[in-house]
Amino acid sequence: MKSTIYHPQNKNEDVILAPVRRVTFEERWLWAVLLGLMGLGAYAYLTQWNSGLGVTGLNRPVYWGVYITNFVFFIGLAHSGTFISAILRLAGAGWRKPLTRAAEAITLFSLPFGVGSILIDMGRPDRVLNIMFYGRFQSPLLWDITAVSLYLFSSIVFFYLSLLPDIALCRDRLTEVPEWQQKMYKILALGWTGRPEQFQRLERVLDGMAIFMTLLVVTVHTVVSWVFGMTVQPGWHTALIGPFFLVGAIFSGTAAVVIVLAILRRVYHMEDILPVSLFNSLRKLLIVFTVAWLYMMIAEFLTTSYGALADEMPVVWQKFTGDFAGLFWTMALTIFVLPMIIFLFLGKNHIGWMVTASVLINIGMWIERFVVIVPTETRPRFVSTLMEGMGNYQPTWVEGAITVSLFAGMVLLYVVFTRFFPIVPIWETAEAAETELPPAEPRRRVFGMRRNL
Amino acid sequence: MHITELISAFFTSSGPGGVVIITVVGLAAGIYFFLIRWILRGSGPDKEERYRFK
Amino acid sequence: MAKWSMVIDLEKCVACQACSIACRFENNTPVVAPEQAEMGRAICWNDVFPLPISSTEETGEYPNVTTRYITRPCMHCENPPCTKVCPVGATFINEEGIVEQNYTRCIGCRFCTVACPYGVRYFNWFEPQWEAPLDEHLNPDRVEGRGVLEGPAVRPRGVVEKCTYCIHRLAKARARAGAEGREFRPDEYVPACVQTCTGKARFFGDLEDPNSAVSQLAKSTRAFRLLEEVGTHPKTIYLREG
Repeated sequence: MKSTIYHPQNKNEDVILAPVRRVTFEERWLWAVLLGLMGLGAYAYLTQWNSGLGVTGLNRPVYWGVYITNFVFFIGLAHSGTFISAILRLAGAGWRKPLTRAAEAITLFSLPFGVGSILIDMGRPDRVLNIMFYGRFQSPLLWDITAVSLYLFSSIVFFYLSLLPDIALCRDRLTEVPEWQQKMYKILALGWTGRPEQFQRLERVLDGMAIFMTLLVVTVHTVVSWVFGMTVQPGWHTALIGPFFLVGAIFSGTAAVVIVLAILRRVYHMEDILPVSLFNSLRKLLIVFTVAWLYMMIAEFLTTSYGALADEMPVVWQKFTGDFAGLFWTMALTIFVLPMIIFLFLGKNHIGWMVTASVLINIGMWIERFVVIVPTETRPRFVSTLMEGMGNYQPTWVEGAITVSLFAGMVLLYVVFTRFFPIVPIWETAEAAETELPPAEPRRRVFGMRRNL
Repeated sequence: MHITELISAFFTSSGPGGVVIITVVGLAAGIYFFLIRWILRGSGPDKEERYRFK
Repeated sequence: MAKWSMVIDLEKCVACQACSIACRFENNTPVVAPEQAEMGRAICWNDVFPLPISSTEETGEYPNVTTRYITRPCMHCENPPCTKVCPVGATFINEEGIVEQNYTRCIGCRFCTVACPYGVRYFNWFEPQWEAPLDEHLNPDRVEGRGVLEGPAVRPRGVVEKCTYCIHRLAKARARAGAEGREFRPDEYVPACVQTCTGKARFFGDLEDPNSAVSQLAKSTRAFRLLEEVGTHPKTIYLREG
């Protein structure tokens, strides 16, 4: 028995599906370049696998460096998607609809590289199963693994569910794509027929998951920060570290969404679907986050400096005037000063400036993670830093190549995804669902238009 | 890697260890599986009643 | 149960570093290349270094200079920040107060190394190597069991190591006493650094025994512990100079 299949009507459907219908020649070159960079990273890791972590710049006392920075950064980036699709969904912000999938895709494709960074950092990756079989829940690393695993898994499900009606659309509309691709859509669509009841239930589950994912966002990045916060080291052991990392994560994630949206808009000619008003809304959010980040920094450094504890001050001076001053003040410039000027005076209705500010913010946020992690290690309480070479950290080409390959991998997964699935949710941006009405009524009106296979 | 040693350690270790991770993720997997099935089934015979109470 | 502790009399210590050398030969500490040492990767379970430790503290101007040296093994804390954070239980404190390190289970995450406030932990960045003829002088003692490898056993790369209060000597002393059919006496167990100290500045024993040297010395007015305010309750006790 063949049941009729309903798809929501969307006037922009053809524009949104266009990238999936055709892959350009230049695009394939991009894939090749990205694969090449990943290959370089793989080669770098191979040297590390063969010789040991000694091929990095890590040493005593700087036992954690670029790899752990990458770990925190990529997990932070992942919070963008959840923020846009889950938190803004709960807030009833209808303007978020065209962005949700693009943002969630950032989450989905950055999380694995965050997790991968931890594996890359391990001295004995061949013993990773020890965590499963001998794991101690007293260790913050176990809280980390549990939270991040749950977050990754839930993000995949949340993403997939939001994608489901559009997979069915691809299955039914895209008749010119290769046989194997059609089969993929058919299998992944799970027999979705677009009945009103299915949409109702889908919306309810997405609402419930949005609440759950919001809780997870708060949990995950707080728990990541506690890997540092639960030690007794100066600069790390502060109660503020949880909120600090959380604000930073949502901040860098939202900036990443701006960058991705601008690229998609330009490359896939989606000027009407992703209008400037979206960027203006994101601009307002980013202003709030920039100020929130500044608040965290002032709260942390003013408190520490005023108390002037002997253990804490060497770390503060390392950041303000010492070996890391260059990085620290660059970070302040690229996260706060320049973006604020851009947001306040240049960014309204100007996507180019928004992207500039967002790129600066993400560079600054990577530096910020580095500056949280490494200076504390260079001024330990009881390691003699007067002796030769102590308290310095010079990352090597291995760490650089691997970092570049992680970004290349994330971008590659992203662009390949946009060639197989619509990056703007067709069903969510359909005409009848402009405002947050209860799903049943608008859908019934739309489903007056029936399309048989 | 001595897989038999690992498995016996899993069951004999004093702390909750990996059991918690497996339980949490496994529970999530189970819940999601049933949720997806629930979504796809739609309603069915109750269709009329649902509209009446709206 | 015993509570093993070490007392180091800084008045008698002349920083000759015999303890450090004895320790590296007893425990098969790998040698590192000069460039590696300059990066800060030298492994030295018992380290001798000048105090103060950083340029932010006062050393004074010549000729009114204060220079002191300290010799530092693992503190074997009673509230160790390192064992708390190990995700796999590769490092743990045993019933006799020794913080052990199991090379077989260690996954090389280095959480313990960043958690230790004293910096007593070291990591094998490469496969340990010795140049000839040092490779002919390795200590054959091993503490080994099912899924356990500790002490002087040659480490694989990618794992953490640190001072064990020469736990292999404890095992050997107990085994010898058992073989001879008699009680184990605490004074039969002495780490290599304590045995070697040229100034007789180091003492070792059981804090639970009120008559042991360490118990008596721990009550001295000159006794102090490093970083007491951090709350780690270290069991390596120092006697102040003067």
